Amino acid sequence: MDPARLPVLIGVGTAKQCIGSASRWPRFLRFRSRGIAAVVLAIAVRSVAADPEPSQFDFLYIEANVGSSSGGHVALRIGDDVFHYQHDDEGFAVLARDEWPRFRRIYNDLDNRNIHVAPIELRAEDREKVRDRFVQRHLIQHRHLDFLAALRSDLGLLQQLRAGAAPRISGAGFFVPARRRVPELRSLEREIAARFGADYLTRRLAELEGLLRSHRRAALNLDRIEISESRFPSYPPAFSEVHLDILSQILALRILSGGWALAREAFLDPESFGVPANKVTVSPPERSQLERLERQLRESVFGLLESPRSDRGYPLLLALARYSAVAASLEEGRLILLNPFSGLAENVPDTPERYRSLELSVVRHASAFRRTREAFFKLDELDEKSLNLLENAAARYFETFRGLRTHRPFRAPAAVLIPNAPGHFGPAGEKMVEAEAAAAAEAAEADYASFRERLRAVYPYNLAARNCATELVRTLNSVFSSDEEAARALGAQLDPDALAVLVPFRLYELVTERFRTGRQSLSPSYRNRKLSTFSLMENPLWIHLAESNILTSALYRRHRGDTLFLLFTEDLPWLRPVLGAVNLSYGLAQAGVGLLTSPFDRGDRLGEGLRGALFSMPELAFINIRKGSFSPLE
Amino acid sequence: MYRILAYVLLLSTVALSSGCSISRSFSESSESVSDSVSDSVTSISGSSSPKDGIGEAKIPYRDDVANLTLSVVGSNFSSKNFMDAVGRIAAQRGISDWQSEKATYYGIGKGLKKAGVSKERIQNQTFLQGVLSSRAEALSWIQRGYRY
Repeated sequence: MDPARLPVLIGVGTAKQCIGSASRWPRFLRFRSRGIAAVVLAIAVRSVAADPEPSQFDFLYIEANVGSSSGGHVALRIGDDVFHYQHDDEGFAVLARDEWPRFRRIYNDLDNRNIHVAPIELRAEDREKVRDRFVQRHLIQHRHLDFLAALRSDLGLLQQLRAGAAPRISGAGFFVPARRRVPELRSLEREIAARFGADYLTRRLAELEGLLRSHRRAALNLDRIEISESRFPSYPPAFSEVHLDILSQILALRILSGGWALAREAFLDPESFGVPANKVTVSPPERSQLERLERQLRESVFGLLESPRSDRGYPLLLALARYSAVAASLEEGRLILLNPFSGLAENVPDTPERYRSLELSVVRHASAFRRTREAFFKLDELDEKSLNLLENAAARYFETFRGLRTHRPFRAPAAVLIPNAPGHFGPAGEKMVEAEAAAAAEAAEADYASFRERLRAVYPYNLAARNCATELVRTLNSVFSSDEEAARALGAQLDPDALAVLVPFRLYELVTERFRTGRQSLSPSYRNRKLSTFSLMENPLWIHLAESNILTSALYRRHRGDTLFLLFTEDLPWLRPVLGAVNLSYGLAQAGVGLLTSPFDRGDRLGEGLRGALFSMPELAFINIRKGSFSPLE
Repeated sequence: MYRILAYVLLLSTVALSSGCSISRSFSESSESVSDSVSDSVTSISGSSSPKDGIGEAKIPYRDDVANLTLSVVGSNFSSKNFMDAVGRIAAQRGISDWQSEKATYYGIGKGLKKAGVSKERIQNQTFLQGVLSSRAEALSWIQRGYRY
């Protein structure tokens, strides 16, 4: 056992790890004192959660589990960013970038996997080179993927135009037609006339409408464009992007010309959410900041109207909507913010289990909203990003409050979102000429298919040759101009085409053996952390017995995506074949029952039983893959 | 019989042990990632010092713009393409009006410095013409980015 790991392992009590090939850490000492153990546990987990030192980055090995990454996964953590390769639906190896808290939450908690951390020590300038390279590759690849998505959108838009349907654009749901002119928009209109001329809006509208009528999909000649993973691409503007932007600008100018008001669904109205009015009353200091924000947003609108950007339509609509919300806040004396969740479907169901924890959620989100609001109104310089964080904090609070009050599903996306409010907007009833539309659609389809194939050649994914492990090594090697330089910087260089590199746990072993690594650590999985915590409070033997199977476990409930099994096999490697045999029998028995029920359940139980049996097979050979997964609410 | 079982074991282990991650859609709720939500909303409080002008929450955006700038210096990247690229990065980071955001210009300055472009030669960069003409403070803000 590596003595350097002793503090972490003692701190987590009986945390264990299996690295695919059944090697395991032996059991180790437990503290008699529960208090000391709890403190060390907290220190151990905290030490893993802390950012890597400035002159190192972390190589992560994420243990196997059922579902995605059933053979384990590897990643690099540099600062707060985690870089890792994923296999996406189109068949590419995509370089993903996640923030460490989210990455840890998904793999460590929800997917219940231990994460092994090996810090790679290197010079600060080499670390920066590694970081720059991974960021660059990520940005370049995502530009390619954005263009592929735009080609796909071209097809969809052409079909809509063929049918005479109004396209769906971001921001079209911020405003609705109104009978009266809204004072704040009228004031904007007057100032635009003063700055740019009395006929500015009319003139610009006519120009844009003419442009829209004549806008056609041009031949892209994509064969002439090089697709490189190391050079930032210059793509021609996609038909859909240009068309939708023109539509967005037209809508924005019509809103400015009068007859529109902020849509109720677009902002966070305390009344409709049932939030007490006193929670959103504007204080005098806040009022003065809101007046500053109002002036800033006005300047944003003027700047965007004349901006040379080719994508200013949606930002202009967003600035108009935020301006209207701030103006309404000043008028009514209560904080009115845009709703970043507008247009989303509810994703938190109204189950009894959910509502047990909802009161605590409301308290937590109310506190976050209050703190975010305080911080925002103390800023020396109000900025869009901070305003957006405030919008999200308010939305989370309002939504959970309404969910608690009404006992109905509500919206709670994990990401921080920009208000989008999509809606349909476009010249009514105008259709593209059928022959022209058909030709354009055919060309769009051909462009999409051809570009996708070329992209696959640059970013291939192949389980046996080009996977998450090999591509991580390949990108890391590309940072350095020679094998010698890589070896000097990292301690060694690995060959991405070597067989051993293909398998994540084996790659991690090679890294720890050959690279210049510091003290390794472990971020225990959700279940292992809970077991350790419970073991501090009760007889550990009893806890492990109770948690060893799904029938008596207080921690585990089967979730969609988990296979059918009876016994956890992570904990007792030496008994694994026996436990695996029980799981195998259970899976086969379920499959047998599934044969009988297949006319009624479309073969679901049969499939689940076979899947459960399949993931029991490695257990017969002392190999644990399956660990169960956990709900976000546990 | 035992040989067949051994092959099945071997094959299933190999088949199951080499998978890589399939893309996850961002479907989990904020109720499951309260720590990261809490981190993002409280990063406002690390914001805007008068000297710096950008907050903690915008450092990743600034650095992405720096990386983009570093990548295109010396290439034939057009001004229009550069502004498009900045717009995409900004959108990914939750910023729609990037022309009003100081972090944009600081990032450009940081990238130019890394690329070895002197402050005196900023205005010679073809790909920056659109950005430089977008607002009066653009050049001075880019120069401030050389601090990083």
